[in-house]
Amino acid sequence: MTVSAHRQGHALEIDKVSKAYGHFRAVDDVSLSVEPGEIVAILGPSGSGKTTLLGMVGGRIAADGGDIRIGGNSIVGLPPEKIDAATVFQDYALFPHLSVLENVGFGLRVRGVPKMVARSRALDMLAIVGLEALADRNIAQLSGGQRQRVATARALAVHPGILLLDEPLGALDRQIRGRLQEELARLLRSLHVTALLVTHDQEEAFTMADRIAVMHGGKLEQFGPPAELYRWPATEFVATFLGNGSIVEGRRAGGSDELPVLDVAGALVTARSRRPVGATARLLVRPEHLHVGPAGSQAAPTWRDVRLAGIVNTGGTSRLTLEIAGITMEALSLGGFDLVPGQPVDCTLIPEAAVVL
Amino acid sequence: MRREFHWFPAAVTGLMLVYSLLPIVTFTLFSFNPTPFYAFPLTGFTTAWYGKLLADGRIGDSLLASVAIAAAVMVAATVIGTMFAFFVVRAAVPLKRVLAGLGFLPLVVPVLVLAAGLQVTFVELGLPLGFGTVILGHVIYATPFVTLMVMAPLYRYNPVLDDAARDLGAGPFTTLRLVTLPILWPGIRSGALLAFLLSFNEWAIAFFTGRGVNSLPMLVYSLQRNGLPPTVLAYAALSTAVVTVAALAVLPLVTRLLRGSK
Repeated sequence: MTVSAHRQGHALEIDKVSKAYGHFRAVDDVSLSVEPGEIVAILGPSGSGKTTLLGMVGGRIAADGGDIRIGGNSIVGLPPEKIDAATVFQDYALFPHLSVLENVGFGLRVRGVPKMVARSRALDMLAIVGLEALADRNIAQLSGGQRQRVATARALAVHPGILLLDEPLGALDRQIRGRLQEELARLLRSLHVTALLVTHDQEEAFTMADRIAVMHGGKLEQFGPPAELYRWPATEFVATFLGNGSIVEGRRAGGSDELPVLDVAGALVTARSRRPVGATARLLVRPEHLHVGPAGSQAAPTWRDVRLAGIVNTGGTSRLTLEIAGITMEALSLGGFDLVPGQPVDCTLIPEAAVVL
Repeated sequence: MRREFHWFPAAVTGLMLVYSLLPIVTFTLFSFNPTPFYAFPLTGFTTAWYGKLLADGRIGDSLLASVAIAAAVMVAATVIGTMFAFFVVRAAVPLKRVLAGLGFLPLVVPVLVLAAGLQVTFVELGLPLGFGTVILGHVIYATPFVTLMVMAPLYRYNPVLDDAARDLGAGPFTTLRLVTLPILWPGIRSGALLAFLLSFNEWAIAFFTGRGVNSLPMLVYSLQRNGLPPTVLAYAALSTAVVTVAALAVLPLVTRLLRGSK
């Protein structure tokens, strides 16, 4: 494989791919596509099959069935060195016996790029990630964030058709992770890199990705833009894995199929739906859609004299646990310092906020 | 951190030094003694025995033979021992522990027994006893030591590094050449030096399997058959000095290896 001169990433198509280990179906009939220059995050808990899927795209794991195409060419059966993809590994896997510059230039050197050319391109790549001053350092002398950037530069230096990132920021402290997420996403977009990112961290997926594929138990649960997944979760798993929320039962009391009215805990609630609603339905209620105040403070609350079962203040916001006619719901309150557990409160659910699952 | 003086380890260390140094100091002293009798007090100081040793034409040939054997053993034992280390650490085959244990047998069998066994085997196989059989015997003897030296860094080796090299476009052989072996190199180098020294100093296998092979230990053996001439002491002192210098060169490597730095 040669190193392409242009940096525009290729498209990736994962087509009905499966992988089983004995009876355990690690990846079960998954299809998804990544457009050129797009960042897609595979989000799921550990054991959901997301890292196995990434390993199959990188050629490290053989798929049992299905096809994987990069830039339209099938890569099934190819060894990793023949695949137009480069990986940022979870623990970075930097070569400890090579300097920072030699690490970044490694992919170019093994592809037969002349030493001086490889050196200058590796230096350019280091400059892009802001580490040109550390070119001659040993890997052992670098901080975690610097190692992450060296690993990214090393993978990008070969101008891969697709960049694969396996929990790229998972090993870093929480404080610098947020900053690096934005930085990394900006870098990938400026270079028009096609990227497939594996993460268990919802915030990382939302911060970096154009589209998110939620995996659970080896299956693709839902694939779409972050806001779409958050507003219209297709399954209860997606509903609860992305963000917080309470799932409650409601009885149909009228309304249209798109905006059904349901009786939830003795009050009528107008919900949103993209599927026909029968006599009963399960609803997702997001904490931020419930407004809570002391009893009597709201003119027309959805529920009156609700018991505030618990309150956890987390700084600027408070997480409230409400008990409404035997149903427990979570609410989010800005401030909330004047509320005490056990007190009766009024609670309003924003109309057309709850979604039918 | 405050370091306290502990008398017990200090005493043990002192005893150990006396034990290991006493014979070396004794024969070194007598190698400079003008009279060929091994009794105190020393009668003077001379380097005549060293002159006589170096004037003996046989020592040059023996040195050449020993170096040639040790070099061949070093190369073969390092290659085989390193591959065996990969088998012990990486292979996923049934009965691996049993097979690995068999490979390490030369480490625990007394060298004399190993030597006698090798002789019987070589004769049974119809191999002419000579340089070839000595080298073969020494390789069997030294290989497990190389394996032990390579196993330590191999156990610590992160196999994802190989994945990373392949991912960046290196084939399996390039990966081995540019990533795996360079990272294991300190262990391989220590094993190679150890194999060289083991062969260079070895007498029993050379005696049993090397008809007409006059390596240095064999020369010393033949020299001391009728009493112990001071030239042998001179040889002992010289070779100890050479081996000590070599060992001091290896020691930091071994220490680094055991501490696990890169």
